Amino acid sequence: MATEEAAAATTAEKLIDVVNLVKYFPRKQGLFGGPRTYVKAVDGVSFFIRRGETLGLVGESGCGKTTAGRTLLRLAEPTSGQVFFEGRDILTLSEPEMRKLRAEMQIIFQDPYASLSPRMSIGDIVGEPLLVHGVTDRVVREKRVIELLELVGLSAYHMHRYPHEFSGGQRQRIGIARALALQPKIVVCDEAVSALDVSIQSQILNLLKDLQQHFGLTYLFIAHNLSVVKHMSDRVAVMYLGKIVEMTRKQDLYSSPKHPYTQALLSAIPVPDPKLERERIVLEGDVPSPVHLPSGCRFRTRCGSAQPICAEAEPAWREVEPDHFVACHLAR
Amino acid sequence: MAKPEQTKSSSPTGLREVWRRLKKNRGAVIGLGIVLVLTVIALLAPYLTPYDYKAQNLDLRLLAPQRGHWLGTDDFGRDTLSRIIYGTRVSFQIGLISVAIGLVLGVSTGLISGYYGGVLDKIIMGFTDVVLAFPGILLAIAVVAVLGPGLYNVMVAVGLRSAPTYTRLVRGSVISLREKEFVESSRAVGCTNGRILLVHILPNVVAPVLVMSTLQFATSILTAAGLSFLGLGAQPPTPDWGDMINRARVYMRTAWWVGTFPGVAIMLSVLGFNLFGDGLRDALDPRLKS
Repeated sequence: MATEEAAAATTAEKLIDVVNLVKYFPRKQGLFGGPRTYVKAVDGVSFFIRRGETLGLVGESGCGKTTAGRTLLRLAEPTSGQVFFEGRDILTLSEPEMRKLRAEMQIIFQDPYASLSPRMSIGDIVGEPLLVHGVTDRVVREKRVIELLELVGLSAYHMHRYPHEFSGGQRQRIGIARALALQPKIVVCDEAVSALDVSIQSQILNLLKDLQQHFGLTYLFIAHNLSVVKHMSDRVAVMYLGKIVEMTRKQDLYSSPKHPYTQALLSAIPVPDPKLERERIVLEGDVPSPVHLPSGCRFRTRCGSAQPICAEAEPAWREVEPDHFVACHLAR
Repeated sequence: MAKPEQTKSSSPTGLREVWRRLKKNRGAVIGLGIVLVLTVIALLAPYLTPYDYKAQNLDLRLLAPQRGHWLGTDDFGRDTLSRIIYGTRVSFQIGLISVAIGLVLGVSTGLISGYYGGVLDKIIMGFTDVVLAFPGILLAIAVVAVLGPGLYNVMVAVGLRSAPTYTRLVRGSVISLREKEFVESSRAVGCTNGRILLVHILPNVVAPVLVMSTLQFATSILTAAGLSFLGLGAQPPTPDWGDMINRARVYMRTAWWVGTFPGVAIMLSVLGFNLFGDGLRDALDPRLKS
């Protein structure tokens, strides 16, 4: 009885629940074909995000974290899997239904130079989500655009300018204003600060945190910078070659990582203390190709503690401690 | 010398900047001058002609250039200058209408082909490849053969012929634009495909299309003149440059002026549009300049 209630409570608080999401990109075949091969960018990823929290998604370049974020919003059609938003599988929605739902799910892009239409004024860019979702009255829209610009630390007079007149940090603020225009429930921040100077990064991160508190936003925070993720997230998922290898609360992940890959990643964070001696785990070799994955555990080729079993069976996604998921045969 | 700080432009294309670069290009300025003069001539033709372009006077046939008939007269005694001036009008009509036909057909198919890709793209590209495989004039002759000779059919033929060039140009730009983040962000915001195409992609292909249209204008005039020369285009007494050269062929040895001046008119207008188009391309995208 009590467990049922608890289960019901957990499903209710899951705003986003991703089940076994897969995205393969077919590779171009040569003239004489041969077997069709795929880049397995996202290869069976499951995670959930609770209402109001920030889930950090980390991993090195090319591990599929951006693709995961995009398929989650259906900006790329997943190969298979399910994405539940408030209990509804959005992958079954028709195109008009999905367009409507986009008001609730937004994204902030990595490159603030590429993500704003070069021939539209800031007012038109920030006002566009309102326009396409039925705010046709120009005056109402402009009023809201001004509110939004001020919310992200810009001013009303910026409205009539064009993207090329702004700095990177300012452009990212414009991107944030656009993402917030429709008061979404979840915002995917796809490397939202990695293209910015360090000093600007912290401004934008703080802005994102303030906005989260103010509007009760839920974030999926995709980044490769572990310190940034630590600063922003409540829980963190670590991705390697298209799969999530570990997911848990931030404190647990940073203090007691269970997966060898997570351990290696964390040991690479520089510590601002030159006297501190510590063990660095340096990974050998390169990331295997996402086209031809190793058998069994995909990390075994670079893992320091790999055993025979790692080559035979793919490790299951287990909850080794409450709220601490790992995909490793050896994790206890 | 330090580059002057870019002035606060209200437009992102920097129209002022484009104009500044265009002005520095002597060829482009000459081209623009020719184009403007020809435009004025075409618009004001009835006020500029000393004689009625179709008034025949057999007493005055094949007069050499002289006072009163500055460019001489043809085999029906019609004033060549008047006919060339009216011919400008005809040529501009051909240019405008055939460019418009090519533009509408080519840009729309290019947008669809590049944006949606897949089977639709394959079909459209198949068509354009077939059309492009024909020599231009041959295809135009084929179209005219089907539709019958006449000025308007020539415009359709030339327009159809130029459409694939636009399709390819636009398709290429759209394919690169489609993957840009600002296009993805407009989808994330909930724009329909139509809105993405028209509001976010189309404005970014305007510049190359504009350049192409200018150059195509010249090609259209030339092709149409060629068709008229072959007797498939403008029918008498329409004062078409190609037709005039055709009729003057017989007198090439005895009365050179009858055919030469319409030829000069064709050359000048093609030269003008080409110079202007090249200059425009360099001014709009300085990176393309070799």
